[in-house]
Amino acid sequence: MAMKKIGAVLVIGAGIGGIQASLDLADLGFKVYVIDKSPAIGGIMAQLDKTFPTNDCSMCILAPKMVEVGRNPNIQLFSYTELVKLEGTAGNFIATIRKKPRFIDESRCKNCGVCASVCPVRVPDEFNETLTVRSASHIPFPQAVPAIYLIDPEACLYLQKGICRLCEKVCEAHAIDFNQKEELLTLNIGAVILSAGADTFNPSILPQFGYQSFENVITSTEFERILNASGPFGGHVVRPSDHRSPKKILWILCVGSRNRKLNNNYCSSVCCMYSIKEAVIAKEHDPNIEGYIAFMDIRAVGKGFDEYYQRAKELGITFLKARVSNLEEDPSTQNIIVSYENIETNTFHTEEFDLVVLSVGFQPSNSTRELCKTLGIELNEYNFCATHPFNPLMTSKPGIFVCGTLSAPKDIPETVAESSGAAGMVSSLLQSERFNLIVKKEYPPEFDVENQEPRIGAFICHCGINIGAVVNVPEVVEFVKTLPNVVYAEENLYTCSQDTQEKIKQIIKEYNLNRVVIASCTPRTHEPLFQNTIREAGLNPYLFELVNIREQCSWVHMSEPLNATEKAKKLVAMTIAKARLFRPVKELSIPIKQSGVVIGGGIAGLTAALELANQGFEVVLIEKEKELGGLVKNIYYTLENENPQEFLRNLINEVNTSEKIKLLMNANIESISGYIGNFEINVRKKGELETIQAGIIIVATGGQEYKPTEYLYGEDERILTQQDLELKISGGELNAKQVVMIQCVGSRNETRPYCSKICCSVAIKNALKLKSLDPEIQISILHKDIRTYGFKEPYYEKAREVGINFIRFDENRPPILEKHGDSLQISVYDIFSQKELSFNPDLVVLSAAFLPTDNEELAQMLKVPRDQNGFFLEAHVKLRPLDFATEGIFLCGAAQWPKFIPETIAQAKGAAARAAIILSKESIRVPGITARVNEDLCIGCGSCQELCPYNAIEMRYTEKLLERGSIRTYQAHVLEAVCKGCGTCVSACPLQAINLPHFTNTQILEMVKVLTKEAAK
Amino acid sequence: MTPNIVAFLCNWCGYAGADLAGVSRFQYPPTIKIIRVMCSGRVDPVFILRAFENGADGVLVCGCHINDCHYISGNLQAEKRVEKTKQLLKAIGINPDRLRLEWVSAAEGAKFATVVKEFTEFLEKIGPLIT
Amino acid sequence: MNVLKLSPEELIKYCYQCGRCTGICPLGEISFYSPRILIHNALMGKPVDPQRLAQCSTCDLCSSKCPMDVMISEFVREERHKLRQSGMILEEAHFGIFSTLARLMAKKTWKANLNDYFPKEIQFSDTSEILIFTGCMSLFETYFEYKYTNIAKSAVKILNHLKIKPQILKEQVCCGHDLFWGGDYENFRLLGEQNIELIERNGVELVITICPECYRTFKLDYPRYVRNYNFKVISFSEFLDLELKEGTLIFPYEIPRTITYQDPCRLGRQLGVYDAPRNVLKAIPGIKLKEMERSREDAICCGVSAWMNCNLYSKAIRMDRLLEAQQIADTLITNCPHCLIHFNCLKNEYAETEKKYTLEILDFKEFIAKALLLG
Ligand code: FES
Repeated sequence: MAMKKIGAVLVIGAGIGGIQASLDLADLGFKVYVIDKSPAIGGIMAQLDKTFPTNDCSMCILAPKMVEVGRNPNIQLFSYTELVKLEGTAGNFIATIRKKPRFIDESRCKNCGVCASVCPVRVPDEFNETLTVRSASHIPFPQAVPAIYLIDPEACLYLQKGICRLCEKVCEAHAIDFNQKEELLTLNIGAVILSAGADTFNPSILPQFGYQSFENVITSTEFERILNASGPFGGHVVRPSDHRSPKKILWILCVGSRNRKLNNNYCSSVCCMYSIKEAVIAKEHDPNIEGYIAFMDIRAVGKGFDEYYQRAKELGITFLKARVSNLEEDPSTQNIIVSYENIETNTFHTEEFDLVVLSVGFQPSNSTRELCKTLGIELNEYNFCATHPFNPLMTSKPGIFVCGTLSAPKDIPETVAESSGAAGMVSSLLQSERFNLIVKKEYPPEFDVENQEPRIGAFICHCGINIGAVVNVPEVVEFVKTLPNVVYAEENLYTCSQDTQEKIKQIIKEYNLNRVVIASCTPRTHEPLFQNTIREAGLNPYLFELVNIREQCSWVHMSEPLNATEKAKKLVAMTIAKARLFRPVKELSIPIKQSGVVIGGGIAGLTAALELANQGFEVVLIEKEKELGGLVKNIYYTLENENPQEFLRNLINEVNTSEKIKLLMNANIESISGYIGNFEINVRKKGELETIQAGIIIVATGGQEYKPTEYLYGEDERILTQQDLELKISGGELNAKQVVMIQCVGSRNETRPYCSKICCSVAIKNALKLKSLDPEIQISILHKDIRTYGFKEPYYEKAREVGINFIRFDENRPPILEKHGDSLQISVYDIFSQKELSFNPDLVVLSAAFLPTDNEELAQMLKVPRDQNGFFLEAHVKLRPLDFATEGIFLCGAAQWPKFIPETIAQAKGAAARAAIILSKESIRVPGITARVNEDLCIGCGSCQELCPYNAIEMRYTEKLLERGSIRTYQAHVLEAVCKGCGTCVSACPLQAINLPHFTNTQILEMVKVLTKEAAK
Repeated sequence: MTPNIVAFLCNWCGYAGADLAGVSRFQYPPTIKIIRVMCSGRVDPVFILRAFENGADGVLVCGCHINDCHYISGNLQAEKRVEKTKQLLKAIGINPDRLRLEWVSAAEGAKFATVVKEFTEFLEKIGPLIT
Repeated sequence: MNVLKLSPEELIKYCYQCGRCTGICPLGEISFYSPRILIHNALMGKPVDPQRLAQCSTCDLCSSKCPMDVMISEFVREERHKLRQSGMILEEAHFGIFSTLARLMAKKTWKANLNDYFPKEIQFSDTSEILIFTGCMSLFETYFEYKYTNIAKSAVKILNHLKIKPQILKEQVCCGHDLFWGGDYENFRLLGEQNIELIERNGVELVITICPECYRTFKLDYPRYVRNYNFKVISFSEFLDLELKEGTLIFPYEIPRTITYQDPCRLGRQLGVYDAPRNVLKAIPGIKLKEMERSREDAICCGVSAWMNCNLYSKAIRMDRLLEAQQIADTLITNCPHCLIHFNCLKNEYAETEKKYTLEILDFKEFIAKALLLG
């Protein structure tokens, strides 16, 4: 008999992948336990300064997600915790975990930092890559989640030598607990997601780079910290030896990757881009910096990457085609002397640099290797977690899924997409248990406070000594009591402590309060806590506001207690003035049509539809052709020598037999209207119009191969594209002896500045195939860079092994193909030999660009944007790769960017999971802070609609009644489900007809008034 | 003279940056009082003008760096509106540098403190708006 | 115009409660707004509904029909003033930005710089006896992102073309019209004093205004509410009309266009300038000037003044007016920047497919400059 399934999931590793998986799982209705061996979550991403190619601030985009993990009632976070063992089978496992002691009571620590300020110990700070020091009692970084200190037992004087205990004396919260022991816990779960990531390569084992011996040779991660404003040097680019600004910096790529000696034959996929980014940002910080990048191939394969690479060149970053031969240190200056051969110029150089950055790749860590062993799952030859190309998120053990860099080197958006996909696979497995273990909080009914005179209660926090030592809290309390409508004011040692919450509730009742103002710390972390408290007391959560007198007052004006106190008063007075104008804000609930539509029947669309069906939802799959399969119809084998046709047949078969999936073939979409949960799609099929209602839409419209206009394509049957070639090979109708392949035909040029990502690997795949069919065949591949990233790299190696020639040509000197009589002649200038070469091939294969399908009309109907190359544009290229900015619409596959089958499958599963989050609910609650239109005032000018980034405002043509007669005009209408509440529209309205609750014009003006008018007095 | 500065900070970057300045104990003058808005795109020229009318000496608007806005493009609107307001200020004769727009990320606590320090010094130098 | 000698309170005593005003009021047609009832309530000592007070566009179509010469706009403004004194502020469109700016200009601690947009080729003379008063064009241009300063630029270009290099005031402030009509007399006076003082100090004999609101303010309201001054004021249209009559203004180029002219309420009904702009327009060869059915004394206004009453009702009036113009002409000539702003707003408003309003809307000064190939 099968064991009962458990609706809970264990997520191992809380970097960006684990974070995304946890959030998605909780939203999908599962209880989540997430463990991380570090004391704070965030992984590598938390250490990064900026992210490519948008130069987004890494912490800015990551921190809100970390906070959400810490706060979500259905995610239980165990930091500083490791897995001990896992027993059971898919659907019902028992995990044993070990929680290491922090020596600080998590429930008491208020994150005030007093313990660290008195701690006498200084040890290297890991978060800053040991470029700075920290104390034994510390928090890994300021935005850490959980926001709880810990004592490093290795460093602590008391734990090591039995002396000190200073921290214990100063902690007003009595949180220090030297008796804490390690704890073993068991968790009953239905599935596991592995997102433990990979390490960065440790260059110490390669002595030629001098990482150990030369101070001015650092790793790229160290350089990230140096760039960071909260890093060791406050964001000033200086080198470690003398803290001087370096002038010449060299990045050395492929350190620890593409290396057979180390058995690291793979490419780490991300180093090219992050190195370019680091060089660009460094130059932004200090324009005097000269950046040099020593590369083998620049693998700028993602969206906007090649454009970023070109921009870096324009900015003056120098790219040296070289794998550096030797590094030495000039002992007098500590500069690094680098010898290398520049392959593009065939010249030798010995050059001095002030700083050398080793762009280190990914390497599976020992601990994850151990972890996989504990779990009994298979590793691949490089010790990454083994997966099958057509099932990229599944480990060798049922019920255990994998995402992120644990299975292969990859960048952030890919990791995020996989994480959502893995969450989706869990959701299919545990479908029956959805919502069973989820807690839903019940609150008492809200009091009606409309038309009541404001009765405001104010609580002013000492925060131990954090506020009270600078701000005269009793004086603030006395002042607050004099303000109109304040009926109660008191001070607390810790307003956030559990007993104070009870007290607040009691006082609300006792004094009949209908507004609450708390002056303590930042709303970014504490607002939800207090909102919850007053909600429990029966008040709407928006009858509350937090005044920040810690981060933005006592902590930043420490030497000016009088002024700080005055400022605190003003801030509280301002908030009380706003509080008088508080109105309850009702959360809205939007009904959801619990079925989906998938547009496009290639593998992306098929997989997405099937995933949704597996999770229990009805799906309509719309395909404009008469056959399913899309591009994969033309793929007969993969680089890894799998058979995609068989896979496709199975997939189509499953879709065909699924009761939940309805297929609309030969179908044309005529119009789309509605919004999240309530879309209406009109489809025409053989003249008949069908209207489909759906809660979500997944766009999987795929791509196509470019039909070249260059290189005599179409004029001679010996000139083929890779797709043509594959068809011919599979038909067995080829018999060529001399083959030349030309890369980047139609890509990386003026019209299409982007890299088509897949063509290098496709060329190698076909070349290998030809070679295997006829070992005598001569094949030359003419290229600009070989971009076989990740685990494609070993095939590049294999291709060289079997004698395929690679000829690198200059971007500005593409090969020339001519026809002389009946013979084809190709001439090309070969950079490697610095010679003009000529070929007389009997077959020329063009690696043609990858284009999106014609999607302009669809984009207009969906009101979603496309990027400059015509691919659909996701909401955020890093952290929301599968969502459109418009809620309820998702994308996956080649519609977003060229990609391989495994990537497409992972994305499709991810998109389906994101969509299932919505579909799994009968209605969704949207936060009440969304723009509201006063219909009496709106005259329909459309100014708001024009600038809403989410298309959340719809202009509806209506008949509006006047006191006499009526007028036909447009009228702005906010789609509450779509509005995010930024309030940008409010300032655009000429008539104050649109407003944002809790941030209304009157409220803000009132605050301005208190800060100015009364200040003047 | 101590200048009075009214600041509008977006929740996700500017305000977070100011929080980080606090957590890192970067000291800056208490001239600045912060009004939190969800996005810098919420800041209306009239908020700024009223602050000046009522006697503020300076107004600071902080949002996320371009491309980083939590709401995609609110900061572009903020940039436009602040630029507009500066032009209006100039036309009616108020030094437009009394209004400052800064992009401060959640990681730029030090930058926030520096901005406040420099702005305060600048306002001290040019004196109060209304004498 | 001697009615202006009486205070609004005295004026309304003549009201018969005959209802002619309400019957002709474009608002009365679509709302319960009634000038008659407002007056009645005031006479009875009952509170006047602030919403209704704000609703009046003070266009004086009613007053022009009143058999007893009751100037209803004056009465409305006075009531707004009283409301303001009692601490109540009436809502303004655009979040009150223009009155905020005007109040900031009223403060004398800094010097305004409204005229900083003329290109070098436009010529001024610091000693000229003629001064051009340009109003707030630069503020409109910045705020509405539309070339409203072209109105002023065109006006001076035309003067230059007529061999006149006028003076311009560097530190000129807003005339205060909108504050005045919103009932803020205090700041209005501060602005008026600054302008009069500046103009007098610069030895000016003649002030030419390019905005009807400035014109009215200088001509009627400064003497009564601020103080008398020793210069003359004339509107740009009247000035050109004089030049035309003297033969100095000649239009050598043919402009084949069918146009119609929108009488601004300040220039038309309130100051009686109807013919001057028409004379000038008709002097352009090729121009067909068609009159809308409701023109001159009967003209319908753009719907808004002093940014007070933009709403569905004024929009209805505006839509009606624009369609009326569109039926007979391909170009609508406005003579007040406010009319232009409001009609532009309507013309450019959201439309799903095609825009409903196709006619071109141009300011009088700009149009004349174009006709002289000065644009
Ligand atoms: S959220 Fe920071 S500027 Fe928009």
